[in-house]
This record gives sequence, structure tokens and C-alpha cells, in this order.
Amino acid sequence: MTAGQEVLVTGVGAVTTLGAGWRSTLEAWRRGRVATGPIEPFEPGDLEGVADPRRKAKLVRLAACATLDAWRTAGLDPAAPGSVDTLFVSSALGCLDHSRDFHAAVIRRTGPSPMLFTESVLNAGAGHVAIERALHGGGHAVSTFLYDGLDGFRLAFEAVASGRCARALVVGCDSWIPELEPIFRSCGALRAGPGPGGCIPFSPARDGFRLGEAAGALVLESRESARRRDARGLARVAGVVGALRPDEPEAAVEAAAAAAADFPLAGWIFPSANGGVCETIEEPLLERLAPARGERSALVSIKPATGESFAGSAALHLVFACAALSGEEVPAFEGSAPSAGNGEAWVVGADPAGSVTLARLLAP
Amino acid sequence: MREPVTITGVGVVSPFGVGLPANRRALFEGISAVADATTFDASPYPVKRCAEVPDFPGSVPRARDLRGLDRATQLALVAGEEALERAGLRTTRGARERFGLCAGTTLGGMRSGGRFLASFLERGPGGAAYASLLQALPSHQTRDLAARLALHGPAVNVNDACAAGASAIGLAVNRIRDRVLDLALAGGFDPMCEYTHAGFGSLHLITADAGRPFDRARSGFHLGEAAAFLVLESASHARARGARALGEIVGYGEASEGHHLTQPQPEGLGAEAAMRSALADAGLSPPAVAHLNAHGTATILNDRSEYRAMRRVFGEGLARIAVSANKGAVGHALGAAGALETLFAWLALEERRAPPSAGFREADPEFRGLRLDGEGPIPFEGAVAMSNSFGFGGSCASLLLRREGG
Repeated sequence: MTAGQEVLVTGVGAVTTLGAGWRSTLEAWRRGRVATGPIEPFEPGDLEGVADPRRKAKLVRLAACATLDAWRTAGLDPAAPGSVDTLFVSSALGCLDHSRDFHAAVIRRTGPSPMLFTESVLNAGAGHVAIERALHGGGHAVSTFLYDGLDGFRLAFEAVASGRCARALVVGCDSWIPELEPIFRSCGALRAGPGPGGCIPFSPARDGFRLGEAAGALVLESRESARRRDARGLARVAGVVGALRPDEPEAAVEAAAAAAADFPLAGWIFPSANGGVCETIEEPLLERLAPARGERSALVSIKPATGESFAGSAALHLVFACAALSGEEVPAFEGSAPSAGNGEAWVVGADPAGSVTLARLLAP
Repeated sequence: MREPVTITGVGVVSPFGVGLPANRRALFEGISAVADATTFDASPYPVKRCAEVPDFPGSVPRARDLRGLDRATQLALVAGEEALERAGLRTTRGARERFGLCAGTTLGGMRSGGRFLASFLERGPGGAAYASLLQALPSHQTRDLAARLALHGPAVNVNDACAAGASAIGLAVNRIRDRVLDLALAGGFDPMCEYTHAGFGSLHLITADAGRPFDRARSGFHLGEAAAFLVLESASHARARGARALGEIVGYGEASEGHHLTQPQPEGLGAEAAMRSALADAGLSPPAVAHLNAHGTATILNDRSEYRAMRRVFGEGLARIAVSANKGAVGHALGAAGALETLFAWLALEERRAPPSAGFREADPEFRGLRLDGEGPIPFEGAVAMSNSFGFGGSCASLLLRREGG
């Protein structure tokens, strides 16, 4: 779980239903604001610095916005080319809006638009971020499991830790379209009742989740690179481990617990829990890895405030884990911040299909 | 000291057929597998031809096991199983925590996505084919592969458009070098699909002629489908289990053009950066490259951009390199193309001859010193081959392979 090069997070960014920017999101979250579903209104003003926003898929716009926010936090010049060496953009669902519209045009034989096609490809987000920020290193799009959206972060961590690159950008994002509602309802995953909030994680009264959309972005950087440009580290990434046992969630828990055995989960814990689906794998995982939860830890999730946005939620949890480690107050739904104040945070990705990833972050 | 990454297994399904022997034979015969589309209704489109895997999956032993799976999963599974079989790893026993999966795809289960959306549009939410939807999730094939092939290490699904298969191999190489994995199944897959036929058609990139890479009469490509996988393994791990090394991946380079979502940077700056980066990664200089498998989409702009990049990297030495471009034979298999062409480059090293570039007749005069042959193989000396892949979004990936014992 340890790295070769020390890896710091020097920039974070977010776009959520609570605000355009990680700071405004955190402030609204602290005030108890709840907003699920699509981001409305998604004003062009929020997209300052994002070129030609209207023709792009929503996912692309979210990714571009979160990236700009991360650039600013990291003290990078948005106009300077080559600010990061490599880029990973993760999504569980892809460019849903343009993909749906292009597909519909194909099915209805109404003359599909080339613009919709090109903007629907799965790496449109990575491509546009590279174009807008003039990035010329490796650029990758990664499809994640629905509820374990940490693949891109893990790859970026490996790239910096190994010394292959000095600075990497990770974006996690997923967008909302109305058709998702009946789809997830048909699986019994969505909250049926009128109660407020995106979900009630780990509660005996949990009854599923509401859908949202979001993007989170992080700049990962070697300590040496950060030192050279006098950048402030928000958190240090101590390691990322995982386990994959498709269709064998118990075995996945066992393997993940073994991988993280030397590091009992403590501090701020950001689980995937979303009021039903993820708890099936995450409850036994936390029982194994965080037996003292509540005493030595605080559980934090933005999903009750913003709903489930898959790879977007995973990235937001990484963003706010960094915020917590850099001294920001983040709202916990179990335990309290003082008990968690040991300078450690865990972000958990857990998909009931049998995928578990654990990211451990420390105060810088 | 960096640990070498060896190739210990290969598996392939392409329009040439299922399995390595069928592909080796057809590749060097120089035939084109482009024919009328059968897996979707092409009647609304001006071009009705593409390159499909013939009689698939019906011709595959145990085809029954593939029933109910999206064609993407079927292709990937059959190629993945062959690669594991050849590596002596077709077992589900033993610890597989350090056996990872890196799979590249452009489309994934888009065919299932189309079925779902058609039912949704026709019958509404109450009558939609939700069973199709799960298979449309971009990560679904990765999950299925990991489950059926008992790969328990980290799995990643890479979607770098037409460079995805090459990127997946490169990321696997990095993970083995970083000791995150001991071995990985790495490659790419993409099925034929009306979605992409309509999409590339709307961009006027599909030709009504033949695919003629680097030809003066080139006018685009046909789409294809394929899956190709390599078993990559740290040399020490392969030695320890007595596996036979088939070759080595000695270099990987990647770049983003940061120029335009679909058009190549005219001078091929991203392609050049990826090639130079692969050479630097391998510690090789350009004259070491004896064979090059080009991306060669046969569009006016892509081939020009790629040629300019090759020319700057290799200079006059380009004329010495035996070049192949295979999309005229097997179509453009999108996310599978990079892995398929890497496998073809490995075959070229084994055979010591560059496969013919089907469709190529007369070089564009602009491409001075580019050595392709549309009719027959080009023999070459030397033990190092380069395979280049470029995609939408400006994704560029370049891999360097060395013949075993070379």
C-alpha cells in the first residue's frame, strides 16, 4: 500500500447540485442543503473558461468545470499548457445524453448528427479536458463499476508514485438523464417514499437512494514537484488497494480486508453506502476493518445531500476527504469530527458485483 | 533494474476468423475480409459493407456457453480464453490476486444499449428490456471477463477510443513494472454495431471503395470487429512457473494531441510524441525499429498526419522499415484495433516479414520513402516492431515489441 514517490493532492474541484465549486458545495452541505437530480440551472456563467459549452455532453461540461476548479485550488494557470503530465477521466455511465439522442436518431432513422456521435464517445470528457487545458501527456477514459469509482484515482496514484509522471489529474463524473429514474426504479434501487435527502446510509430505515449528477477533480503531485512550485498539499495519498471477486461479494470483502489488514480503518471514512445497494457488501467490510467505528472514526457521505452520482460521488468523496484532512469541517452522519481528528481518511468504493477499492489518505 | 514484461499468451478473434492459426494464415495471404453486413440492418446506409467475424459465435466450440451474452463479451471471452490457454493459465485454481485485467473498448455493450433504448422508445418504461441494459454498462464486459476467467487482480476498462486496446496493453505493462501485478490479460474488443456504422458514416469516414491505407486513392475505411488479448507477465514470474516467453513488450508511449476531438493534429505532433516516448521508454533509438504496424485508417487527414509523424521520428531511415497497415483487410475494429495490430506486429516478428497491406496499390506521392506492399509480405531483419494507435479525443499510443531471443 505504500508508494515509491510520496503523492500529494494539491488541488481539488467539484461541481454538484449544491454548487459550482468544491468550496460552495461544502458550504451548502454544511448548511444542510439537499438537492438531488440534475444540476439546475447549469448556467454558462458557471462555465467560465470552458469553451463552447452548449454542444458538449453534460458529462463533458461537468468534467471541464471540476477541472477548472481543481486548477485554481492547485494554483495552476488555466492558460498554461502542459500543467499536468497525465489525465484520467472516470465515469460509470458515459455521455448519456448525447448517446441517447444519437441512438434514438439511429433507431428512428431521422438522420443522426455527426456532432452528437463524436460528443458521445466514452473518452469525450478526457479529450475535451486535454484540448481545453492544452494537455499533451497520456489522456485516458476509464469506465468504473457503478459504485466503485476509484479506478482512475488508483491509476493516477500509481503513475505519480512510480515516478512516471510528476503531476496527474483525476476526474470522476457522471451525469443525469430522466430515463435513469425508471431504470433504477425497476431495479428497486431508488427511494420510493417522499422523505427528503439522497439516502440514509447504514440506517435501519434505509430505503434506497435518489439519483444526482456531479464531477469531482483532483490534482495529484509528487512531493518534490509540489515543493518546487511551492504548492500546498491538502492531503497525502498513502495507498490504494482493492479486490475483485465478481458475483462473490463475501470473497471480495475477505480479500479487501486481507489487503488492508495492516491499516485498520480510522479517521474520516467515506463509504459508498447509498441506502441499500452498497451496504450489502460494505457493512461486513466495515465490521471487519473498522470495528471501533464511531469511537475512532466519523462516517461521512455526500450522497444524503446530493444523491448518487456514481463515479462523480466517488471523486467527491476523495475531494472532501482532502478537505477534511486540510482542516475543513465536513458533516459526518455517524461519529464526530473531533473523534476522527487523527489526520487519516479512507475513501471506500464498494460495488455489490464484487469490487472493493480502499484509498487511504493522510494529512500532508 | 526494471523487470522485463514478457508475452506468454496470445488470443484473437477477427474478421480473419477465430484463433491464432486462422489469423496468421489470412494475415499473410493479404486477403480482405470486408463483406456485406450481416449482424445489423445496413440497408438505410450508403455503404453496406464492413468486416465481421464470420459465423460467430456459431462456429466456436462451446458456443452454447456464450448464449445470452452481448457480442462484445462473446468476442472478448473467446480471445481471452485462447490467450490464457496458450499461456498455460486456463485454470481457475490457485491465487489469482495478482493476475489483473486491462481491457480496452470504444463501444463495450453498445449493441445491448441499442436494444434497450429501442424497447424503451417503443414500449415506454414499463416495457423496456432492462435485461439488456446491464450488459450496456461500459464496465460490464470487464466484470464478465474477470468473473469467467477468474482474474482477481485489479481490473480496468479503458475507453481511449481507437487507441483503447493499445492503451490497455500499455497500462498493464506499467502495472507489472510497478509490481501492482505479476501478470495481466491485456487487450481490446469491440463488436460491429449499427451505432458506429451510422456515426462514422455521418462523418463521411466510411468508404464506398476499399480501405486503401496510405494510397493516393484512399477515401476512408470500413468498420470491423475483433478482440485480441495478450497475457503479459513479469519475466521472473514467467520463469518461476516455467512459462515460455513468446516475446517482450519493451516500450510504451502515450500522448494527447490536445487539438480537436476528431481531427488529427495536422503535423502528427501527438503521434510523434507517443512514438518518441515509447522509444525512450525502451531505451532504443529509431534505427532499432525494423517493422512498423501503422494505424493507417486510410482517411486523407489521418494518414497524412501519421506519415508526417513517422517521417520526423525516423527521418530517411523510414525507407528501411517494413510497414504494414491492416485496416484494409480487417476493417477498423476501433477499441480492439490497437490490440489486434499489436498482435499482428508480434506475428510479423515471429515470421520475420511484414504482412501485406490489403487495399494498398499506389503510394500517395506525398508519402516519400514509406515502404508498404499491398500484394505480399515484406521480409525484414531485426527484432523490434512498433505498433501505433490513435483515436478520437487525441489519444495516441505506441508500443514496442521485441522478438523472443532477439
